[in-house]
Amino acid sequence: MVVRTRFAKLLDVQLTRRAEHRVPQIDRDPGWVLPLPPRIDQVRVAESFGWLGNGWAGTRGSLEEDGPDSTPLFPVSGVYDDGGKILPGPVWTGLDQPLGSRGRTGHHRLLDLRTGTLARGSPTGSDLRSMRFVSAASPQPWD
Amino acid sequence: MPRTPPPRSFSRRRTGLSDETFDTLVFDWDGTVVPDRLADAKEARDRIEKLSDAGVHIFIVSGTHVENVDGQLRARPRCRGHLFVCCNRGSEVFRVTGDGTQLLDRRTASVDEDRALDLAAARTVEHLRERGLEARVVANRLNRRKIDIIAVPEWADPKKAEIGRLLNAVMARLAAVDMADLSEVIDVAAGAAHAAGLADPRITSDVKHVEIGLTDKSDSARWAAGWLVQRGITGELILVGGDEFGPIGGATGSDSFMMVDALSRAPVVSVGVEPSGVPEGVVQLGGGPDPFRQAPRCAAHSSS
Repeated sequence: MVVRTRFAKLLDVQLTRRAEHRVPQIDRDPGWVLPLPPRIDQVRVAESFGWLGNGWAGTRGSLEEDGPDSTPLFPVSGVYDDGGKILPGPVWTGLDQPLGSRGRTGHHRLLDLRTGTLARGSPTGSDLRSMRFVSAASPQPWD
Repeated sequence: MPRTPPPRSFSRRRTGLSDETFDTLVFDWDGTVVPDRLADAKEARDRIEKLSDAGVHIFIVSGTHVENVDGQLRARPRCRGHLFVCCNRGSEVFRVTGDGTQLLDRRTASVDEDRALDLAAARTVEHLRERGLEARVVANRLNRRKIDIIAVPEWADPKKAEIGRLLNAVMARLAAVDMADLSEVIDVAAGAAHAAGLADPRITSDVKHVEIGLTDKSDSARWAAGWLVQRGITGELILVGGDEFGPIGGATGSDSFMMVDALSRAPVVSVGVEPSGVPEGVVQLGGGPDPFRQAPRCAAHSSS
């Protein structure tokens, strides 16, 4: 018989979560974390505040479920269309499936200025959770 | 934009800590991960190496020296997540890699500080003797002096699991000389340390001993917090664990020294018996071995 200590159980929980690709969230440090406005009429403001970029590529802070008030954008420095305007890249933050009634309402979005991470959750923790960042360590992943 | 504190309800609840993934674990060794310094640490080694492989940084904080911890743990992680041993009660930091241990930081006492520690320990023994309590200096450790206040054969080398009985024996010994609890012994040591010229003495007790030193576990915790903040890892991304956060016999719990300001948002969990309870904010899981048989391997082990 092997006796497992209570602390070993905690370590096992962490191992299991890592194996399930459950990543750490953000540290809600009031000095560094900015709550984005959740109201529908402030969507554009929230998108601008939630912009993440690394000097080469950037992603506008649009909600994953998109919608008529939303203007997602993924531009890359130096990439333009034939008319000389910035060419929007594929919207990698969008969802293939609509969220229905679970979308938009009741969510919190927090911008962690220390780590450059935009995290989304809900009071119950049961709805859509997301985290997004643009890598500063590997700004051009294929280099 | 308003700079109000983010809602605590954001995506997680602080109940059992089982619904949180941490970037870093900072924890005590003796009594927390292993029941004592003679125990087989293979299970802990497996877990710690796997956590390191998964990218989790680990800081083991201990009062003892690196040979005791590393000799028992013998982990040799490949270092995706870093493993540190913060030992000698806050005076040293070692990094552990596949090649062994490497000293990163050491607090070196000046000649005057060493002399003051010797003097403080000698005066503490003297003052305790004047009160009727026989004590003796038993060890001259790095940056600290250890005073045995129950130097009797029966308690020559108590195990961690015997802490309750040891406490009763020490309290009886103190009561016999009209001392209320360990806090009085600590006050005597602190007074002697200041009189000896130590500006910031760190006085701690493991019940059997009272130690006068230049550092304590808060220095380990601050070193860890400083290393982590440079990598964007702060507060709630860190789990702090130990078995002695609450007071014991009038002395501050040794692991509570890890609760430094720089880690004030970090969840703290105790797996100790904690006879006097735990400080506010500490999640107490209870102590002792878990009363169930371990499955052959946990889910994470079988999938990796």
